[in-house]
Amino acid sequence: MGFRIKVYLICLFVMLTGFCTATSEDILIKNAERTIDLTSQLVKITHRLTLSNTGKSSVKSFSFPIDPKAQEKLSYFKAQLADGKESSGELKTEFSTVKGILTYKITLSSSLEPGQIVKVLVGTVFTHHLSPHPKEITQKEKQLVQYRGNAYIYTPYKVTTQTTKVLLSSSTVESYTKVKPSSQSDSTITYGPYENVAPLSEEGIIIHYENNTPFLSVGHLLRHIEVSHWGNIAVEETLDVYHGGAKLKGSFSRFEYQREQSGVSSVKSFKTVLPELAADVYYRDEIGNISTSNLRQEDDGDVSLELRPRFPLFGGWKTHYVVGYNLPSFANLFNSGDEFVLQMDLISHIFDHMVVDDALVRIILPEGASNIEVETPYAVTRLPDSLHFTYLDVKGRPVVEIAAKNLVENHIQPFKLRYTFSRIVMLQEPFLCVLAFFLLFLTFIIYARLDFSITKDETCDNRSRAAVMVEHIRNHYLKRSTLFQAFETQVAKLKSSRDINAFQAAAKNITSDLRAQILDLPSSLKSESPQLNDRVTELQKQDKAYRDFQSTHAQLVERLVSGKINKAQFVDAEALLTKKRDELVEKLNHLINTL
Amino acid sequence: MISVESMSRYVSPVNPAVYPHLSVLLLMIGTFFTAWFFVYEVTSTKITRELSKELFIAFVASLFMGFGLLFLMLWVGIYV
Repeated sequence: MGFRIKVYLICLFVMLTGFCTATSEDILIKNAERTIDLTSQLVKITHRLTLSNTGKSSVKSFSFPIDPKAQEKLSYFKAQLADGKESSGELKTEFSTVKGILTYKITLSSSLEPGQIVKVLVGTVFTHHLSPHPKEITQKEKQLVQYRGNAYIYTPYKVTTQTTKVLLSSSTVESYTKVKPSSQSDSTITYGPYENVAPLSEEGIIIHYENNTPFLSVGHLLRHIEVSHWGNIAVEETLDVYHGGAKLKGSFSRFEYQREQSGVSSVKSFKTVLPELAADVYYRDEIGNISTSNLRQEDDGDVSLELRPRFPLFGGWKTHYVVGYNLPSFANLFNSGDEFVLQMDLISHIFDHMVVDDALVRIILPEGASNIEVETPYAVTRLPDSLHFTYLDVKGRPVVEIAAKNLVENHIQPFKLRYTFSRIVMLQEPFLCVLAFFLLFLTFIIYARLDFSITKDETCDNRSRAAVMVEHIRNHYLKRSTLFQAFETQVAKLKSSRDINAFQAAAKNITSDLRAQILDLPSSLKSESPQLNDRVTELQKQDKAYRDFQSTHAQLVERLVSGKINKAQFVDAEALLTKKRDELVEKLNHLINTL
Repeated sequence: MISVESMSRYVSPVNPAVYPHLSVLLLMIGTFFTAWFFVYEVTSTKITRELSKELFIAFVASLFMGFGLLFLMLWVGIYV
């Protein structure tokens, strides 16, 4: 029993050790071509590795450690298959710190069989890796920087042959470490080819050359994205940009600056590329709007904003500004039913070869958004959600905050944010406005009903009540006068048409209306205002008189029409009646006006 | 994995191009009703005032003014 256990343990041990050493011994890098791009402020290293499996078992992944001297400055890491096609699939990578060295484990898309070879492309970007040397320069001088690296590739595998090509921003090289065979031609330094280099071997190189390209870095970026379901996404970026190159020594002379060959490493302006549909762009700082900017639409559809800060940026100088724009919602917001997805770049383009030390992205969703889920293209820190209060808010708008550090242009990738929002909640905003106005009107209604008088004024009350009655009576009599007019027109028509029957029918209608319209006064009127009562009774008497006159007139005309009297008699009678009529009308009008 | 393939692009319930016209129209009607309300308040006496009429005019006026104000804010760029 004991013996068998020992055998098993020994077998297990052998297997484990075999397993552990399988990755580092079974792979041989047949050919490695490394390109170190030092043409900008970033150090971009691309490795083209030809791996071959020299072991007996298939290999699924290989490890790629980062040079410990540079590993804090690593910003971006990407591995893909180099099979000649531009859009080769990206390989999955995961990193871990093994013995204090940051190591990436790259998983191959298909396992490498023994004896097979595979070509892999590994790209890395380092920030703040070029150090200006001298650290301070005057306005006239050119900027020289130093790159400290390794002549050999830092890898745990044996490399059969390797070459390194260093691309510089200019052909002015102060000095470079010569590791045989190395050569310089124009702005390229070639190291190699080196044969059979042992794993993890180091040969330090220092390249001191002239680099006048913009050394701008964004110290802190605050990116504000506000989503509105009324069709707009507002983006606002607050940036602290500083010049990270050689600091300016001595004073700044504007006169000298305006001459040629002065401040070659300073940055006068830079170009930001905004999304295609960006509109209402503004560029301002604490003082106000900065007018030295140009918004241009490029041929390929991009909108480019050329920004010229208020002063040129020399080494050690910084500027703080805000750029904002509006995007239509259909550019980045998708929905199906109550589910919405916002797809936008996590950070956007600020300037070419940019470095962002610290970024904070705040996405403000409309009030009532729930079930928030965020998917980012690379590892970031998601801070706890908070609330933002702005126009027409009751509960507050949920804010998603994402923080990230050490970002470059390669990090401009979209993130996806999903949330649930029922569209009916949008109505809360207009109804809040409606409620506000209604409360204002209610205040007026209540104010009109408030009575702050100390004593109760009886006569005033009576007078107002009497005035109300007068209005009422006046309106009544106005209506009656229209009826009287109608009667008169009928009579005139009778004179011309001589149609008695029609006249009688119409007359009957009008008289019945008049009778129905007799005014009924409240009984209290007699006690409250006796004079008004007298006048009203007088009015009623006159009204009756007028009606009598009208019936007499009608009878007369009827008699004429039916031939009972002749014309002369009719004319006399009519003249009398007309005189009486005029008197009556005058009296009525007088009474109504002086009511 | 959040996928947007099956989703359609989101557009506002009201076409943003009509925000100016809509806001002017609604505010004009709202102002008319507001004016009517204030005239009624000023010309009526304690006896002739009717609460139901007041509330009705106030409600309609506030409805139009409220919506008009919202579209005015959207037109101006305050995307609430």
